[in-house]
Amino acid sequence: MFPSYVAQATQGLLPLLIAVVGGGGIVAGVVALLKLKPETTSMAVEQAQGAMETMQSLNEDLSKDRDYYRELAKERLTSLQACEEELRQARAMVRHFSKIQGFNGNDLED
Amino acid sequence: MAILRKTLRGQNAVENIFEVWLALAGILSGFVFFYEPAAIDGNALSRTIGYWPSLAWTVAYFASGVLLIYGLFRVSPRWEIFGLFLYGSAAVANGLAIINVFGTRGVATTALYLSLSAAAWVRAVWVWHVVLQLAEDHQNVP
Repeated sequence: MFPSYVAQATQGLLPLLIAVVGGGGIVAGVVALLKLKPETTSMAVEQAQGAMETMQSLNEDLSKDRDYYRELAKERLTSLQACEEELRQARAMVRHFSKIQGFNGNDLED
Repeated sequence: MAILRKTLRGQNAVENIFEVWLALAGILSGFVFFYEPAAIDGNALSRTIGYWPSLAWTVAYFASGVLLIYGLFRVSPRWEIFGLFLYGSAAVANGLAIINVFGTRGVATTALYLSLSAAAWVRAVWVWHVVLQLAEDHQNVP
């Protein structure tokens, strides 16, 4: 328990404090109800629905873009791998012919 | 549009699951009283302010729960705000009564109730602000 002097000092104050904060909350709620007309809230809800619709549409667009770029990246990777393979074969051929002709093929970068 | 509205309702409730929980707690508290009115006889609030104000407090808890559920599922922010203010009042009254009766043993519980009140009031003011902002945006749309 609190010290007796604290308890004595707050004995009459607490119910008053409870009444003030309790009543204050109810008053604030009623003020909110009066200030926020149903038209205002329906406008806000409509705006939120519009924003949600826009967000869904943007998400769909982003999803389509993501799929497109993923496919593009796959194609580019395949193409790059094919190029690397061709380059590797070309280097092997250069080495082969250089050896035949006495050229030092080791100078070529691998 | 109907699907969108339904989605908004569901999303509104899921995104504010803490509020739903508060509402259910308020409703449950009310049900307990309606089922057994003697339940508030010896509680901290009735020992602090008396039986009849405690009865008003229980009704406020129940009403705030119903208002929160209505506000969230019907997407009606004005009732939601009212419910939040009411819930904050009821919780702060309970918190103060608990510390009055239990002293230092009730500090943690009181702190919890006061935090809930603060959260409910901050949320009410925030929703109020957002509603006004959205309504203004709606009016400014060409």
